[in-house]
Parts: sequence; structure tokens; C-alpha cells
Amino acid sequence: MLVVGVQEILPKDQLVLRSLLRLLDGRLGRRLAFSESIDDCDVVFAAPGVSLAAQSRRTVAVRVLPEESNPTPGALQGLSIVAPLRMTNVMEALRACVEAIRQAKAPPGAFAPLPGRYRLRRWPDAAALRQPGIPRLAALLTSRSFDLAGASAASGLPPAAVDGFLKACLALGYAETDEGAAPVTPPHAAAAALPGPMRSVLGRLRERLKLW
Amino acid sequence: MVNLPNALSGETKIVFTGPMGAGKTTAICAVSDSKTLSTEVPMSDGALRAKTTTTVGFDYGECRLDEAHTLRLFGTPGQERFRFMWDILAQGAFGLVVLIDNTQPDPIGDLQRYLEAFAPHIPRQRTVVGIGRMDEAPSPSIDDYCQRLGSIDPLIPIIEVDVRRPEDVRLLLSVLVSLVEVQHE
Repeated sequence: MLVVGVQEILPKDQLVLRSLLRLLDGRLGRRLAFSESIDDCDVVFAAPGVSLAAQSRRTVAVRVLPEESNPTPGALQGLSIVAPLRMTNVMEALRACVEAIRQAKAPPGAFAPLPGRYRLRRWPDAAALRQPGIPRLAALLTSRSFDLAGASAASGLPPAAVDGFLKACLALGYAETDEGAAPVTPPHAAAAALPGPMRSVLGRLRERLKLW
Repeated sequence: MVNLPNALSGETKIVFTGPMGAGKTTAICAVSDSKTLSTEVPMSDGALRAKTTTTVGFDYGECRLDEAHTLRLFGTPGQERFRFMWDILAQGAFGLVVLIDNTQPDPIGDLQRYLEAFAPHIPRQRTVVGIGRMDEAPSPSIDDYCQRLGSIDPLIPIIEVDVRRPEDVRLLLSVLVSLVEVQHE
């Protein structure tokens, strides 16, 4: 259960947030609830500059920035979201909160790479796919199962990035273990390798349109 | 298989389809080099939101990759009565982008219809789906789409997008290109 509260954000943003919490309840791998009591909250959406009434053991603050603001990366500490609140940016913020809470609970310095093989049961949402390399990683993991090292080598992403992606997908129910699976066998094994000219066209397409 | 004859001859074609008002023309404009060719006419059934015209032939845009290669982007007319055009435009296409308007009465049914119509021409492994206007109509959710389409293909990428944002169109193409690449690895 993730309990969410607000502190000094605009009434219209509060209303939107409450509605979105109802809509998203259970869809981020967790139940979601709103609370008036900050002490009970895991996450608080707060106006910038407002110090949280309860900086409890685990409260994560999400700063709600005005619509016209254009924060430069690194200018703000912690999580932030630019108004107006929408399904997409609230989902993205809540996912980041879940990850922050998970990391806070992990023992210091602990990086336990996932053992075993995994594949995706469905594609992740747009917020995850906006990160460089993730569309390719997701395409690989929907085509066949990989272990962490194999997925890292095939996607070109660092093992920690693949590990984080897989753990998030497992938490959301998008990924599953594939223990006992045969070694990598492409589903379209009969298909020939992509000819050089076609690979070259795809490379140009990526470059020209700045695909990731 | 990838439609290699076209790709190797310097032409790579991607088809954008979906119901009227889903944003096909907008999406093509977002990634085309210059002005697109559009065969839009005033809507005979009245305006749909701010939309007063609809495509009756096809939309066409180009993106020059280099001296020898051009990406050609085709948008189909959305209305079922122009369905004969879908088959023509899909011939030799390298990939398919289906755009769905989530404010319509049966958007999942719309998606099923388009997937079935294009399946003979473009394999599902080279199809990506963009769901638009989810801010206005959050239901059905992406989860709902995945559940309903599970029997057809649970692994079709279904992504919330706003095609008025060029980066969202590029997101769809990033996924499509990734799909093709990994099929042959």
C-alpha cells in the first residue's frame, strides 16, 4: 500500500491527484490511498519551498512545480513534477517514489543482481520507454528470455540499468521468470539474419530521427 | 520477413493507420522533412471536436535518410468505406503504426479491426500501437487493451502517446525499429 498526501498545492491539483489515485489504484503493482494526515503518508505532493510538516522515517516528497516553470536538470533536490498533473506524469512520479522507497529499505551498498532468466509478459508503459536503450531492451525481452548478463550484452545497457528495469517490471507484473527455459532461441529462428543493407537503413533511420 | 525489396532499393515504407481523428496526419507531419501531401476534404458528417477535415485518399510524407535511401510515410484514410486503400498502401510496408482515439465509443474494438485488416500484409511483429487522448478518456486503460488483445498477441506494444508531440511519434518509431532489429538477432 502506498499512502499519498498533499501539502499546500493548488486545490485543482489536489482534486486531480485524488481522482488519479482512484484510477491508478492497483495498477502500479501497489494499492494506492489518499490520506489527509501527513504522518500516515509514504508520499507527499508538496509545493516548492514548503517544508514537510512530517519528515518521517520514509516520506518521499514530490515537488509540484508551476506550469510555466522549466527546471534545469539537477536544480532541484529529489523528485518533482510540473503542473498540470496528468495521468502520465503522476504515474511516472509514483513509480519513482516506489523505487526510492525500495532503495531506502535496501541495506546500504547492497546490489543483488537478479538471478535466473526473465522475459516480458507485456510491454512497459511510455514513461519507461522514453529512456535511451529501453525500447531495444524491451523488444529483446518480449522476443525471448535472458539472464541479466545476456540482456545487458544484447542491449548494450549497463547491468545495473537492466537490473533496475527488470525489478521494476517484476514489481508491476510485466515480467516473469523463465526458469528451465532452453538457451536463447529466437521465435523467428527461421528468419535470416538482417541483411547488411537493411541494418544500415535502420541505423540511418535511428540517426536521422534521433531514435533511441 | 522484412519487405526487403523496397528497403534494398532505397525505399522504406511505414504505414500509419487508425480511425478518423486518431492523429495519423499529425504524426506523419511530425517526422517528415517538409510539407506533406494530404488529401483532406471537409467532413461531410460534421466536425469531430476541432477536426473539420478528413483524409479520403492518403497522407504522404518523406524523410530523407541519405542520398540513396528515403523513408516514406503513408497515412491511410480512417473510414471503413476507403478500406480498399488500406490494402494498396500496406503493400511492401516495412512496419505498421496503429493510432487509436481513446475517446471513441469502442477503441479496443477499433484496434482489433485494424490489426485484423493489416495482418495479411504486415506481420504483428512489426506493428506498434499508440493510444491517444487518454487524458480525456482514461478508460479503457493500457491494461484493459493488453487483456483484451491477449488472445490475438499479448506482446504487441501498446503505448500511450500524444502525437502532437514529435517525441511521442519518435517513441513509436523507436519501438518499431527495435522490434525489427531483434527479430533478426
